[in-house]
Amino acid sequence: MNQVFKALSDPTRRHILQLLRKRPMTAGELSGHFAISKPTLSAHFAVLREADLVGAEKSGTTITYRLKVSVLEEALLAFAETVGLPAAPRTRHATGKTR
Amino acid sequence: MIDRKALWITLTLAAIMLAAAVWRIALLPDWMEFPLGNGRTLHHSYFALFLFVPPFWMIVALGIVAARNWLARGVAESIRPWTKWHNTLLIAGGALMTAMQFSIIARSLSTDDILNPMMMTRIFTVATGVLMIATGNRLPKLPWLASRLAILDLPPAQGAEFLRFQGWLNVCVGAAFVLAGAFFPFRFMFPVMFGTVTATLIVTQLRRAQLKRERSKGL
Repeated sequence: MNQVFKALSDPTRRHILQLLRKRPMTAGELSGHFAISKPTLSAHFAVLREADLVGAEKSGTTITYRLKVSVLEEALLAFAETVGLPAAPRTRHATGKTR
Repeated sequence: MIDRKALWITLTLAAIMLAAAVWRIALLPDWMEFPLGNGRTLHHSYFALFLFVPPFWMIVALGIVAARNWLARGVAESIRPWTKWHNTLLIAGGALMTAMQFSIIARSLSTDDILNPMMMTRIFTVATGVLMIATGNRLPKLPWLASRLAILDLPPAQGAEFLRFQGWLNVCVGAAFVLAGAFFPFRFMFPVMFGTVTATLIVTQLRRAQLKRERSKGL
């Protein structure tokens, strides 16, 4: 459970989970939403995978991530959103940057 | 989708329950008159047959798991989490049913009122609710397995959404069981339990149909 709290404590990781809630996404698609380097994003994915909040499927060179949260974890995520904890304040879309 | 150890435990529990039911009924001078303990008896009833219900449900649950195993199409890696989930559900459910049956038998043999029937019913209702919450909570984490039957099958994305929905529903029904068992007046407990379970079965199938329609419309 500690790993889950650690994973949910970071706004970028919460934003990744929010994006994956809509549909499974590739690492490339996800990186388009963030203004951070790929190694940093990979570290975030590693934390999420370690907490078993996302599942990854490798097909060739593409890794597709899908949401893998339990009901309780989803409720915790929703709680974090409700109480106003920000999810990833700096995104590429938000800052107007393009790839 | 159940490992050998869990299968043996489940079968052993079912056999114990069956043997206990036969043993208790064999001891009755008239099986239509079932003692409720403390000198009270249920006259002219089929209540003694209720002792066969828990082992019957264990066999039905095993049959459902066997059917799911046959219907599922997936790689070993996807099946492994389901095996673990089924093991937990069957062993915990089996232990709960065995305890429930033993409490009925113990009460029928006792001469005092140690096992208050209302309290026992409330405890088992709450325990069932907790089991539903625990297993429902894990459902969205499980991988969607394609089915041999087209009517049950969904594409992976819709399947994951269906499991998420089922998980939430199970947790809500489990919470209703816990609340009903702990706080509701006794006469409202069973209507609430049967009502929520029936509604869940209907709503689950409606959601499956809706997800199928969404897929066919390309939404």
